[in-house]
Amino acid sequence: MAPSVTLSTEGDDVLLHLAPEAPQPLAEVVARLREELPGLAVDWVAVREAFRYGRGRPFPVASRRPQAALDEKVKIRFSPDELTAYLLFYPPKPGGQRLSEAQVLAVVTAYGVPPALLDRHALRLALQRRSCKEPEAVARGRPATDGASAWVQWARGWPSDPEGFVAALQVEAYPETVVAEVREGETVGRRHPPGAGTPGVSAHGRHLAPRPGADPVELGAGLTPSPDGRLVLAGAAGHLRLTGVGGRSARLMPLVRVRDGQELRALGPGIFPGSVIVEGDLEVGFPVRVLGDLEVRGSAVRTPLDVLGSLFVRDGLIGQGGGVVRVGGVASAGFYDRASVLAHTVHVRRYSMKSRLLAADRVLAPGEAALQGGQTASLGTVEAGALGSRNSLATEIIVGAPGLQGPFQEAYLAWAELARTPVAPDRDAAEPELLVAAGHWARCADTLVAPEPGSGAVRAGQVYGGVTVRIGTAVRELDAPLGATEFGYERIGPRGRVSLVRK
Amino acid sequence: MSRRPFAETILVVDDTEFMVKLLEDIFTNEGYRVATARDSDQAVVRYAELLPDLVTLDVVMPGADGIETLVRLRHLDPAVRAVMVSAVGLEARVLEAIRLGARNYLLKPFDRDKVLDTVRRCLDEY
Repeated sequence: MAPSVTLSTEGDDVLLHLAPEAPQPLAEVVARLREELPGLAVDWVAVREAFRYGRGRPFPVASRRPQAALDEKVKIRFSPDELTAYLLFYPPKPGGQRLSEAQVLAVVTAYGVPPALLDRHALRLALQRRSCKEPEAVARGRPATDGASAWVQWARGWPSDPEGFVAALQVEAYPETVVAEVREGETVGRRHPPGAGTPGVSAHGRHLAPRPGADPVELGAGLTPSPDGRLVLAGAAGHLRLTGVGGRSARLMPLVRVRDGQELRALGPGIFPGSVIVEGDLEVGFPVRVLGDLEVRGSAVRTPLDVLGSLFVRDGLIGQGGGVVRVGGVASAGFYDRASVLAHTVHVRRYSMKSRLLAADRVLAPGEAALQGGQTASLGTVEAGALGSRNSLATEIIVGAPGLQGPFQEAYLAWAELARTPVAPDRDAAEPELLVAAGHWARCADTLVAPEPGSGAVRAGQVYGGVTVRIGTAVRELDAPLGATEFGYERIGPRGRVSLVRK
Repeated sequence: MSRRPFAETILVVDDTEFMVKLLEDIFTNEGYRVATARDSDQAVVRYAELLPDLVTLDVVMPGADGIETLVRLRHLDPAVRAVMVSAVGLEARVLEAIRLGARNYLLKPFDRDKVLDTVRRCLDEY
């Protein structure tokens, strides 16, 4: 017999040893056993089980006891994920005997189930039940735990990504600034490397290797890891912007601080490839275009804005017939007065008065904030403390209506074009970032889809008379005030219906 | 019929595509893993590869028939669990297969419940 297939005896039992990598097909093992064990009743089912599950361990396949063939038999079967071992009993034939616990354990061991994984209680139950129809799970492996992905714990918990920005603004004590200003050489984050994970073991003792964690952290322009790789350092002074989901990637942007809007003239025409803080009011007759974020610590008055990042206005955004404001991320202002704003998310901290607000994702006016007069539209949802006013000011709320995506397409294409426009020679360094932005907004324009008719929802804590809610093609005009209400869309009739649920 | 929490593999051997598909659907819907073979040679190769828990063998096949295939499979694995599949009128051949070690038989046309019951009973034998 080849060394990869050997036989031994233990008491009356004949044990088959198959090397883990034994190359012989089952037919060859069968032929050899027929040759080696003439006149002995070989348990061919056991041979097959040894071939499938018992490699590398002695497996009982025959007995020198004549009645052994009539005895009770057991098998182990494994769940598809290999993490559970089930014990099956086959009753003895007339004249045969039941297996003892020790004999059952010997077979379980032959299948490779590690003793440490055995559930003794389940084994006792299985021995009481002795059934192949109700298999008992007698051993459970441990699944491997994959390693955690690398991440960065950003210092000060800067809410500079759009989602973090909105989350921070939704709490009452929202931050006084959304610009994470850093100094050259400052530690801006602590990098946590990907985890190795914890190995597991299958119910038949096989090592289950974990998948190491991914490393999705990308440090963009101006950010460098410390020599030991544990810290993230700012290579220059500027504004730290988180750019990926969950703060996985970030970059440093140049930051300009000006006292008022007039100083922005010095930035020249075209788009400024960084972020800007205006310490006072912003009121200029020329368009202000910013690649990063814009923070106005007074009010923004009648100034056309193109902010490809987010806009934070501490006081009010005042339009009064001039200055369309277009924002790639979140637009947040204390109040909006006759303003015309287009943004991914529009955030109203106190009120909006006779303004035209349009959001690609949602309009948020949390708490007591009110949308009074004008038109508020969103491709997704509108949530407000109050809709309309006590004096029944005409207020229109639109969600999920066809054509709402048009102004966004126009803005995205304009931004892509703006970012492609050559910058001043002293800003050559910013050109790669502008090209990335151009590609990003061109893709956004290409992939923008019309809202599903009737999609979206409107939620409000209070609704006054004079409010009109349009969802898809359906319209509902409200004459009398309502309390907390949620509006949705029902597919009834040719135009559908705006449903109303009082909360 | 209660499903087992572990996968059991059935090899369906039949030269008729329709029958293969029919049995494959019945078994797959019941949670079995199914492999198929269209003739005796293919059956022997697939069996050696997979060591399925059970084989259904069509008695009448061109070339080596179901009975000859059963003999070949038993040579390869004396513990093979085979269920013969036959049309009415071939009882003698089925009995010959049973003598040669087949566990049971199924008559065409099939009754789904009967097929599953027969297969389950075979699988519940040692």
